[in-house]
Amino acid sequence: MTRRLRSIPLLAVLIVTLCGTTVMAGGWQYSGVGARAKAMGSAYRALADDWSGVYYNPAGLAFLDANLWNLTAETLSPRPEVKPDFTIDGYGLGYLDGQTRYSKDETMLFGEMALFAKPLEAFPVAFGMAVYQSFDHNADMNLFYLRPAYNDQLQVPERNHNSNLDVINFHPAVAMKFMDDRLAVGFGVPIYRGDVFIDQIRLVENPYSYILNSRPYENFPKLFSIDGYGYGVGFNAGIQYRPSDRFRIGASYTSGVTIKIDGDSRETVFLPYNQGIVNLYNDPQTINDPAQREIRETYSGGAFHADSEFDLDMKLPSEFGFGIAYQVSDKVILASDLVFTRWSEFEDFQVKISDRQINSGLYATWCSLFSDLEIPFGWEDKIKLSFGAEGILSERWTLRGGYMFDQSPIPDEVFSPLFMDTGNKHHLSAGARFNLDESISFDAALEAIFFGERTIDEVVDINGDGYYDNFGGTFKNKTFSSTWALNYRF
Amino acid sequence: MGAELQVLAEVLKMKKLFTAGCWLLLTVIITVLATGCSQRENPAMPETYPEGMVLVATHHYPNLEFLEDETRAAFSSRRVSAYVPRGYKLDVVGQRYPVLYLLPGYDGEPSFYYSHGNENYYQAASIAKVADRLIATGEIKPLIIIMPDASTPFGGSFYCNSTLEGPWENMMIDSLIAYIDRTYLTIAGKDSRAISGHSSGGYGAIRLAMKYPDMFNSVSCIDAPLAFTGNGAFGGITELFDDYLNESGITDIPSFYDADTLGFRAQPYKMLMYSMAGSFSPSGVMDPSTAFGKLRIDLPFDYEGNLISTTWDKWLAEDLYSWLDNSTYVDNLSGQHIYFETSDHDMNLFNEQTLLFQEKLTANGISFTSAQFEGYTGYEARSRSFLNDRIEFLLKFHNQYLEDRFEEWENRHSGN
Repeated sequence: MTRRLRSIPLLAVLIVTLCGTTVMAGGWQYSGVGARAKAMGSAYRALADDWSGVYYNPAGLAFLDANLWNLTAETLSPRPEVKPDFTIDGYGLGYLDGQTRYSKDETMLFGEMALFAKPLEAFPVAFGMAVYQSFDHNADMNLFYLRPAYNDQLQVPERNHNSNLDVINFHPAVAMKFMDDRLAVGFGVPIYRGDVFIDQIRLVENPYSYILNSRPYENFPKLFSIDGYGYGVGFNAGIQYRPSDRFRIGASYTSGVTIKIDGDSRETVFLPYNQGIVNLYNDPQTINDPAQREIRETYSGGAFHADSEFDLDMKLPSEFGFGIAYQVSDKVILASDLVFTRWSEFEDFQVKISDRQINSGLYATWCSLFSDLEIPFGWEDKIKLSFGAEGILSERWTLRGGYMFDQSPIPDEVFSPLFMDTGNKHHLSAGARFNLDESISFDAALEAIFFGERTIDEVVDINGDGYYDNFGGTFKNKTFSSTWALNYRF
Repeated sequence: MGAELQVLAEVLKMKKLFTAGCWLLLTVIITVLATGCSQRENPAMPETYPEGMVLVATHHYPNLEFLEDETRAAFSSRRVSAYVPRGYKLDVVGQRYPVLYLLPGYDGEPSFYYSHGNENYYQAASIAKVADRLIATGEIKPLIIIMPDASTPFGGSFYCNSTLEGPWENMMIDSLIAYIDRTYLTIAGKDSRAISGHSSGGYGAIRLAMKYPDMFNSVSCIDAPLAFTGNGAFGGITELFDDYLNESGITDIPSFYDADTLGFRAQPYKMLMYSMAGSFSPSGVMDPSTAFGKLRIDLPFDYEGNLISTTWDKWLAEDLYSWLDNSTYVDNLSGQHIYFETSDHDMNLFNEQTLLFQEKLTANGISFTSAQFEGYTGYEARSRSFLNDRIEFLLKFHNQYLEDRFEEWENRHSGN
């Protein structure tokens, strides 16, 4: 059996990597990694003595008591909902105002994998690598429709407010013990792969206001879609000190990182339908006049799109965390973490478009419907506070529980379904370990995240680029996840 | 033995506790997974307009054969803008609504009534906003508002029959109303139809109400030229002749005949005089020797502002103040609900003409409602500047008299 298990790690790396490129989750920064840590509310920086130390505090890896291979599967069920109230001067613009809209409910499955070597007496350095997901967000919502003033044969896709952003970490790390195993330091160099897949309706000012400047024609809806990925490299470092057998202190720092994303984009403009205007500019005497034709085609209820390439810099925030743990008895450990995340470093998405190819005859006025895109964030630095406990019931069973309070960094002025972090979050978690034998154990964790509700009363364009930067309405969210892990010690 | 039993009891107790814990954990897992995995249904898409809006259609006016080709081409296909209220259905069968015809003035297309966004106090009306708000607050019942495009090469129509500007009176009465009743979900009938307008649109509204008493049940206007002649001290429209001559820099005969419609919209007095001349005194003959002669209109005054009686008489024949000397028109108006709005300041003095017309209505025993509006601090009440605000009062006035069938509709559909 042992021999068979030894052949699995390489295959698992492949599986996890493949899964990792397509997984989705709720909440932009993932609440934690590893079944044990998540069950303890991610209060783990002073412990970190299994593979997930690579994420929380690489110094903890120095306290591995065996070589470790881990394979983890996670299910994730984000449950965002939006009740749009996107109005200007009391008038709707095509959003499904007043309806409670749900995200496409999906339970996603993804995985984590790690392989680490324990420190030896002759060589007191632990090292290894883990693959896991550290950031992700998924909300696939249908919040907009073309009103009857548009062509009734045409409708925007149901996926008109979708954001699927993932960051996968390929994370090698080393750790070393000093001072009779009381002090340890660790260092990691995560390689980040970021995937960005966004569909978003944006309202473009009607460039033909001199023809008809009235509702519902003040704006044309434009579906903006980008799909790309990129890589970045950062580092993390940590220190752990054990002043006594019962008390542990840990601190870690994860650097910010810039992931350079590029990929394909498509902008689809939906043109209004107004037969009256079409007829008016259908004068047989001047039917071929370019200006008349342009207006005629603009109000004929069509759609046209431009395919392009894009690039943007995704700047992930740096983070500093401090944790303490106390071994109450031989069987019970309590832990707590305080984490400061510099969300202000998560700067705006500046989507630069290049090589734009338009699938239609281009009229000069239509050019104004296409532009680069700036999605301003202006997020605020926030903290997370977590508590966890672990109790050994028997040789085979261990139970865990945890709680985390996590502040939302998003101000109302830039809040939209792009990131459904609706408010401060309360994470409740519980889990267990079952030891099959000395080598093999199983971990399980359940987590429920309850988001604060948010209401946006006023939509604004904070950067003056002609697009609204937030989204009017009421927003709620909650997320459920389960984590299942197989540990093999050898 | 007793100690062993005690140990056994402890073990059994632990086992029970452990079993209970396992069941509890399993229950939590199933609950969380079931909650997390359940599918939520999104509500259906709305089937009606979420709020009122202005739709624009084109109406092809028939029976214009007597017009010259060029003129007919200009008038046969015209925009008609329609405000439809929240809940209006696109189906041919649905709730029907009373209708208000809102006629634009001589210098405004219908978009004047619904294109919002001009500068704060001097803003064109936003009819949809005003109507939506009043309907939402229950101050008026839902209605359809029709705004025809009656613009002409001279600015706009006075809604009379002109060989030059078009037979707008006939087009409105014989063609447009039937077209609207066919196209939109209106309640076709006098009791559910009203007419209103601003400036020359107000003239048109009162004119059509005086001539066609069976078409409308209520009529209103804001600052309209209703008394061309004035009353001695006040010269009516003649007070503006010198304003036109000064505005165009006309000091002699050549400069009088050198005028044309270029730069027209920046010269409001010229636009007014030409619009009236095109409506009331088309010459029918083009004189290609002068720019003015090409326009085929006659003005009722010469380059010094002296009246030319032959032409002036044509204008007087269309003067509604004078029509009130005719008992037929007096009787026709007597059966209508009438409302006037006048501003403090109108550069064309139409507010004065409207007040004069009201005096004559009173003298003839015709009752009406009226209001004079004031400006805001720092801004005197000008007829155009405050149109956005005053339309609210027009709608409230007509709402009192327009017959609807909402109750009947609801009863029918609720099975009562």
